[in-house]
Formats: sequence, structure tokens, C-alpha cells
Amino acid sequence: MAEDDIIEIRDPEVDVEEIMQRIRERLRQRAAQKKAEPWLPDFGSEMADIDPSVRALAPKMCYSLQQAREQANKIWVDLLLTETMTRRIPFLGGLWRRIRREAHNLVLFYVNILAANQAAFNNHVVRILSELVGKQKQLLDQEDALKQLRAEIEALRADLKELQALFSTRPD
Amino acid sequence: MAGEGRKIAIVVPRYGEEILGGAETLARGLAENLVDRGLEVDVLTTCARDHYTWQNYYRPGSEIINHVNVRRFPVNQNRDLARFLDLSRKIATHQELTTEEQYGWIDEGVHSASLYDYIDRSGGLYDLLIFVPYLFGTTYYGSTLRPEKSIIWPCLHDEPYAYFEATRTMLEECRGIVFNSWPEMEFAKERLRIVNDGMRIIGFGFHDLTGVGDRFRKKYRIRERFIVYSGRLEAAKNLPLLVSYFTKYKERNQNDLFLILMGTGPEILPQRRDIVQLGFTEEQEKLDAYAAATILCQPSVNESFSIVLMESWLNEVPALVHDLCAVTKYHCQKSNGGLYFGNYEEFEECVNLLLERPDLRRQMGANGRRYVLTNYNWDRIFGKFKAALKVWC
Repeated sequence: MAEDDIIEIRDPEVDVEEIMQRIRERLRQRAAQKKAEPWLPDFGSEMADIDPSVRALAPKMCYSLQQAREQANKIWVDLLLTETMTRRIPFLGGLWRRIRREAHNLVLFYVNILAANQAAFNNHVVRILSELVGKQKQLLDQEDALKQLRAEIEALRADLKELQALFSTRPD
Repeated sequence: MAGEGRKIAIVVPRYGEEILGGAETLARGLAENLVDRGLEVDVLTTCARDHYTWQNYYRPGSEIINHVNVRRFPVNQNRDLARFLDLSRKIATHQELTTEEQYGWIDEGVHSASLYDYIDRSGGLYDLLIFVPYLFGTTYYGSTLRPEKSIIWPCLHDEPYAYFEATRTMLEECRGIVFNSWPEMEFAKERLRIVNDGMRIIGFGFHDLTGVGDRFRKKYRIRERFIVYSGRLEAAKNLPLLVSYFTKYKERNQNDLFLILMGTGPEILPQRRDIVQLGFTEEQEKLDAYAAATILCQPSVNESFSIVLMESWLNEVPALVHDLCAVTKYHCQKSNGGLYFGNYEEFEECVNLLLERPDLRRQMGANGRRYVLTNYNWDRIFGKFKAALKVWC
């Protein structure tokens, strides 16, 4: 009966199964993080909605961020050629149209290279802003915790004062 | 002599240098290399070139192609195409066929009465008749004429035809079965429950053929990094998935990556600057493209071997394959030469990892090359073939 006699290539530096495990673990963690912290922005085109508590606190900032997200990649230029009277001229009209089209395409080629760079830059900026807005939620939570801690300290101080008063008035 | 005076017939529905299917390439490579090593080989094939129409294209009779004697027989032209298409549609829409319909589908496929007549009359001249691949009338019916001498080289994958009653009967009643890889044999044994004492894993051999990346980049004026795909442009090869993943990837990642497609087929693809269709490419140009590529992607989940994967590894290109293809995933795991994706997120992570780590790319490509040269050189393949001959004959 046939057996698997394939000769494996063992490489101390590359273990495909280990690489795949790491990739899958990273994706799992990312998915779990998304669930646990829904206000955190999702990078790329699928950015999550901003947390309502942050939106209530800073509505203008959130609106601007939303606009920035939507506009970050809308800088690509498509071919836009309007018809001119020259199209009616036999032969030369067609030739001129073709030359015009090629010239436009050439310009677009370079413009869109620039656009690609700009879009990459925009995306980075939007990501940073999204992260900062995400941090707002953490700050809000921390502020609440701080208020609670302050109240507890105040209560403890009051208790302490009472105890001090009690001890100072008690006869030895 | 290495061949020990054996005479072998390889029966394949189409044969010729311009026939590019995987099984047909395998049959041609096998025939040429067995002849080079002293075996007497006849190829028995039809006059058809196109596997959709099965029209007779070549002249019937004998001719020598690369030292191999090729006998061509005309295809029967009396098939009921409407019935064939009707049954094919049922299969494609996952409707269950009755056993009668399964045989009907085979009946309306490719057949050659004169080929069957030749096997019946002259089959005794050969020590073995090797039928490649399983999915054609010439194999189903040809192998029933001399089952005691018939070896099926099925090139199986997990598809509805593999579950046909006729497939089971054929694979169990023949003298032996040759598989291209361990997962293919596991599929036959574990999923299809095929029982046959003459099962062997042999695979396909490769000569050390490499390309020149710069020549490809210069010819097509491509400076960007690119993923290369080679094969038929059709849904059965999972190409639409690759294109949709690539398109999504480019929306989410602003980089210079291109997708270059080699091959022809019915799939209509989006017109984008970063997706380039080269159509049919000559053999050397294909190797040049591999040598220039950053990553090879083989998204198909229906492979019994994947010649494309091996050819690209010979050119030291890391591979990216589909997690659901047991065979290509197996090759990647055994070679440490490629990664695999099961969804878009994994595809993106794998691509980005390979783009960001040229050292990893180089190492994986080198591992892939070692894997092919070690396991799939013709000397090793021929050794396995000779050992199998001893069992079968």
C-alpha cells in the first residue's frame, strides 16, 4: 500500500504552520478587541461608528472626523472630456479627440500617482484622529472613575474626622 | 535497460504540445520521460483539440511528437449535446443525479469507437494501459475493455463526478490507481471509500526550468510588485474570489501591488489599471513571469497536484493558496514555501506579511524550490514508477 514518502523541507527560520498560527491568533485578538471596545476605530475603509458618549461630548469634532473619513480617499480623478465643436471636422476632429484623450490620460496618470500618495497620507491622519477620538471614550470613563474615587475619599475623610473627634473627646 | 522492455499505452482524450490542461500536460510529460528512459510508449488519443466541442481537429493515424508515438482516433460525432448540457446543468446546480443519469452524462461525453476497437483488438500488445484523467468517456469505457491491465491516473478532486457510481466501479475494478499526492489518495480512500490493492502515489516530474524576471518586467514595463495567477480564467479555478479579494485589498491598502493574470477563459474581469490580463503566454514567458513575481496565488480548491505551484517554486516565488484545498495546502506545509488563506482577512495578512518581509519571501521561495527539486525530479518519479510497475505487472 502506498505511503506518504514526501521529503519535507525543514527550515529553522521558516515554519509555515507557526506563521499561520500567529496570523490567525492576531486576527482573533483583533476581532475580540473590536467586540470588547466597539468605540475603537477600525482601520481602513470599515471604520466603526464613534461612541455615542463621545459624540454627545464633542459633536463638532465627531462630525469633522466623519467627514474626513469619507473624503480621505475621494481624491482620485477620472477622465472627463467635454465635447467640442472640433468633433464635427472630418478626420482631423477624430484625430484631435484622440490626441486630447491621450494627453488627458497622461496627466491623469501623474495626478493619480500624487493622489495615491495623498490618500495614503490622509488615511494615516484619519487613523490618528480616529484613535484620538477613541481615547476620548477612555478619558470619559476615567473621569467617571476619578469622580467616584474622589467621592470615596471625601467620605473616608469625613469618617476620619468623626473618629478623630470621638477620640479627642473621650476621657482617658 | 531501465524500462526492462515494458510496453505501455497512455490513453488520454487530448494530446499535443498546444494542449495545456493539467492532466494533458501530465500525460505528455510522463510519455516523453518514459520514452527517454527506455520504455516503449504509445499514446492513444483522439483527434480533438477543444474539450468543449470535441470536434475532430487533428488527422487520424500515427505521428511522432517529441520521440513519442501518438496514435489518434476520431471522436464519435453522434453525442446528444442537449442531454449532456442538461445533465451538466443539474450537476452544476448540485442536483442529485440518478445512476442512470450519471451514466447518461458519461455516454454523451467524449468517445471514440475506433479507439475502443483498437484497445479491444490490440490491448494485448501492451503490458499496461494508463488512463489519464478519470473524468472522460475514453477512461470510463476504455478501461473496462482490459481492466486487468488498466491503471487509472485520475487527477481526482472533491467534485460531484468523483461520487458517481461509475467512478467507484472504474476505480475499484482496474489494476491500479496512481495519485499525484497523499491528500488525493486520502480523499479516494476516506471520502469515496475506494478499495484497490494497486494504489500508488507517484506525482509529476519537473526539469529545472527557470525564467528571467527582468526580461518580463522590461517587456511589459512593470516596475511594481505583483501577484501572479496562472491558469484558466474561470470560476472553477476560484479566480473570481482572487479578483474580489485583490480589489478589496487595494481599497484597504494603498500600495503599488498589481495582479497579473496568465491564461484564457470565460471569466469577465474588471477593467482596472492594477489588474493586467496577459492572455495566453508562451512557456518561457510564463517562467519569466514567475521569476519576476512577488507572490504566486493559486486560489483553486480543486487541485490534485498543481503544476503551477511547482513551476513557480522552481523560480523561487513564495505561494499563497486556499486553505480549503487539501493538496496545495499540503504542499505548502511540507515545503515551508507558501501560506494559505481561508477568508479575506487572512488573505490580507498573508499578502502584507510577504510584502513587508523580503527575507521571508526569499526563504520561502528557496524552500519551495528545494521541495520540487527533491521530491519531483524525474529520476525520483521514474524510480517510483518502476517500483509500481513491479507490483502491477
